[in-house]
Amino acid sequence: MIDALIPALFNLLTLSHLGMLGLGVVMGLTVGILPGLGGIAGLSLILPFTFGMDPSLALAMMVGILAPMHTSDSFPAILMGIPGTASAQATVLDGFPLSKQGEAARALAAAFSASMIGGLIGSLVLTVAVFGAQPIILAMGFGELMMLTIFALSMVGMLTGASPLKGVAAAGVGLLVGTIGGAPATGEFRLHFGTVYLGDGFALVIVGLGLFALPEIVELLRRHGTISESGRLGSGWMEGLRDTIRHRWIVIRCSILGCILGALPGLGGSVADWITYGHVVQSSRDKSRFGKGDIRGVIAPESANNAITGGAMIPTLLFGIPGSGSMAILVGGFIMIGIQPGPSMISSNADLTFTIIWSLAIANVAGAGLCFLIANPVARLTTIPYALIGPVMIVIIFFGAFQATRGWADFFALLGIGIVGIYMKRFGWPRPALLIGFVLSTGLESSFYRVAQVYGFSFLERPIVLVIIALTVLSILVAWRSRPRPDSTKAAEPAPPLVARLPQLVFTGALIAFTLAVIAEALQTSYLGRIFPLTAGLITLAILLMVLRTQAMQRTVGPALQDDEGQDEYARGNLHYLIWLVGFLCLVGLVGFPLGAAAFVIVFTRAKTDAPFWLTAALAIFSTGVLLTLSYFLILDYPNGLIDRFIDLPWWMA
Amino acid sequence: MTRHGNIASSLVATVATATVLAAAADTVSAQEGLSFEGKRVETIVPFGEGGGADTYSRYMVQRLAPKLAGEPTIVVRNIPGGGSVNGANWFAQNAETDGTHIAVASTSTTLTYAMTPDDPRIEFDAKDWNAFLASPMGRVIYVHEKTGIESIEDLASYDGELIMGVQSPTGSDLPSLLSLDLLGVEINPIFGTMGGDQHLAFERGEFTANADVASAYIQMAQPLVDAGTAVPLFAFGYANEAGEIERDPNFPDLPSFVEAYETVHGEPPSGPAFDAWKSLFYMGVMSSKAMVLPSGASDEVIAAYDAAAEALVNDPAFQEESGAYIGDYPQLTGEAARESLRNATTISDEARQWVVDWLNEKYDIQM
Repeated sequence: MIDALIPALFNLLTLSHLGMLGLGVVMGLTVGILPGLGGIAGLSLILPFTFGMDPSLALAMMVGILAPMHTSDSFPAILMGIPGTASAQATVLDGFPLSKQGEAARALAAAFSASMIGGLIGSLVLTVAVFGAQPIILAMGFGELMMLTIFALSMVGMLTGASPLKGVAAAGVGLLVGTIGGAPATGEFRLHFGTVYLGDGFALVIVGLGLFALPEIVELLRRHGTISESGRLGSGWMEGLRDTIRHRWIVIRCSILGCILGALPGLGGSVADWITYGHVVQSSRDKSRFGKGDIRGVIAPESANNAITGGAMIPTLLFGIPGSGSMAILVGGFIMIGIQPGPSMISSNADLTFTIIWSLAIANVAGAGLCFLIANPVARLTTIPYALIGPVMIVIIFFGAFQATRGWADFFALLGIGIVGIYMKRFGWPRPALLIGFVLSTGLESSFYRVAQVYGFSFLERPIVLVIIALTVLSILVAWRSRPRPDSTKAAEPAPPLVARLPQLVFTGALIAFTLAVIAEALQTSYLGRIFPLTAGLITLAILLMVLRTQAMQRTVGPALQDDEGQDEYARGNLHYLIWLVGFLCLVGLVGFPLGAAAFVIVFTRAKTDAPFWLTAALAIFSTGVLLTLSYFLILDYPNGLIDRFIDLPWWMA
Repeated sequence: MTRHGNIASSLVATVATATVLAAAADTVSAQEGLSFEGKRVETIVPFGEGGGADTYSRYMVQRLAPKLAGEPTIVVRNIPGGGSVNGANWFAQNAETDGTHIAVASTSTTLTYAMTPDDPRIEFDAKDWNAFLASPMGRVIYVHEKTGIESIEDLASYDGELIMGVQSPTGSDLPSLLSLDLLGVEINPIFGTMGGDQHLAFERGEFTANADVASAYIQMAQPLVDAGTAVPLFAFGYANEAGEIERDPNFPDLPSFVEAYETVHGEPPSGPAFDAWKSLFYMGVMSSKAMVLPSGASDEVIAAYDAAAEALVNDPAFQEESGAYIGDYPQLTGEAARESLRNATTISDEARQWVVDWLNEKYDIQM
């Protein structure tokens, strides 16, 4: 078997193979940059062409798409604060502040180099794993997976921001948002209000974009400058490379961690970036810069998220069981070219297995190389007045949200979650905590139920379970020890009067109302459908009430009390730009998405900048052009506007 | 000798006649029927990319397109959500009836439609869709070797409970759960587990029973059977033209459910429980996947698709290669496909009520 390793490489180094691989890499980079698109969209584009193709050519192209996605997703994450894929969410936390400080080129260089090494380590682990990782994967049962989920949840402790109370409450609200939709144990719908849409729960892409991207866009628009506060680019990419080399042990640790998390079915890629981010914060002596632009906060999740792909291929190849959506469609592609992944893959198709691994390694290097080439010019985006970029970004994130179910409801869901995100940011609630709670909610509920049904308490007799419990306790202890303490050197300022606190009290009240709604709904469902939302709901309610009490009674300024608006000197409040967003949706309702996007870009840039008309027109044509191209190739049916009833537009313009 | 010669020559004559007729039919449909030349046909797949229904659709439309008059481009549009309800609703409300929209109805679609008719989210009428191709797909049930069960006979005397993963109470695993229950086995169903999870959990020995569609069984369970970890018990079976349930042609060594039932209970299955089982059997096996035109499609459009489906399933190249993608089952076309979809979308009120009561009493599930 192993003797097929080198021939597979030489087979791949032919013009046709490298051509296919290159084509895949370019597609993979593209879908990585655009939020909402990912491996699924990229692979489904080429799936029709794989019939009857030479298997090794098709594999080179398919893997070429999957490998570099998590390299290029750093572009929007670092430059714009928009996670390009779900596993670049943690990159935003420190990457985006670095851009604001004018360090975009450095952050990108660190991200790409970490990504490349992560991808290579992923390929290496995959190579070893195909020879016998079955027993390891089979050792991870329901009990282990449940404890891993709880361990991941304990990372919230490192992401609570200034107020631990708010952090835990936000994570609780995230868990509750995750319970909307079908109960895993009974299929009963919870808080779906009779709709198909909420019956499936909120899509991760929408929650991610709503919590991170929309608030950042609104903030930047309010600031009315460029992303880089100095208007400059700062130190170049050599500095970023040096950062990666300096933190090589972080890269290696996080890559291996990412690979393992990718290989475990059920947890998946969207958690690995958060776990590794939490890990690097925990293991760092000086934690003061995290969240404000610490390069380690970029390197850790970026090395992990490229390693995930290699990890996720382990169960896919060894068992034929896809661990994620993009792996599912990869298996579909395998079947179409006549390969049956599964236990016999390595013995019967050794050459193709190694073709996959080599393609993964080469595509990672090629993807990082291409990103380096364009990093410097692209980083200049951070020095352009944001009022010109902002409307295009709004179009792009609405497009990303639209990928969730491809309907109008996605737009409304994004706007709704975005409003929550904007006010969380304003009142100092940690958004990562809510997101982690949301991501883990379904997994936690179903694994809890499975453990209860299959094991009862006997899962505690399993050694790996005990190890993970010990790790979790350790993680909570570290979080406790590093909790933010009040700064005793600063004299306590008196808190603002109650009237001035009213907006944040109302927001906390809204969270409490939502929690009560979850509890009330839970009481209507059967025992198995109720137990998780009820437990999580009651705990969240208690903590939220504590937050409310502190906010109402506290006499001095503290982290529980925070209201950015009024502190800043921006001309316009959040509400002003929320009205713009609603206006955008109205335009879409009138003339459809592609044309509405163009109209919005023109109206917005005319109103907010003194750019010449040709420039605003060019931006509008660019946005609509992107939408129409994607619609044509991905066979999308955009929400059509009222105009569609009077004029017969071609399907891709709708 | 002469007798044989006669038979041979009459065979040749028959084949020749059939060929001429078929050729004539082809010319007729090409000349008089409508042509989809230059058209773009959309296939609505009510699931996300990847997975069984999507792979099936992408394979089938690829092969179907050249058989349709005018050789149109056929593309796939995925409309996921609500366990296929979203896409099915879209199809019912927006599909053109001129043959430029087709859809895939899978077990989840027919089962949701037939079993929960009062669900306000369902805004489609699957029984009115015009199927032109139905693909049966067998199901096999197997247990873990650690149960000690080696055959149906052992199942009857087994007094433990079997742990089995079930996707959702109204999902495509329901027929398997019902089958085992009717055989008198105590089942501990773990709801909310997907196919991949079920396999891994079975391999880990956490689940002790599992059910697979034929293609997944051959790919993923056969290696476990060969290794001795999994013990196949029975396949659902296959309905012949008279509607009797025979052994699955892909698994001739495995008893059908009906045989298994007789072995356990000493008499053939009957009554509302068996009516319910048969309905679920049509949803799960005989019309596992169906390609459909929307209701209101003209006879001309339907005839064009019938002809294309007929030409496809009789194409030796297709017969040769299709087993790997859709299993080696006789494909139903035209009226037979519509009959199969009708069977899969209708269930008597009595049988449905029986299932609802059974889920409620046995597993505390409100359908």
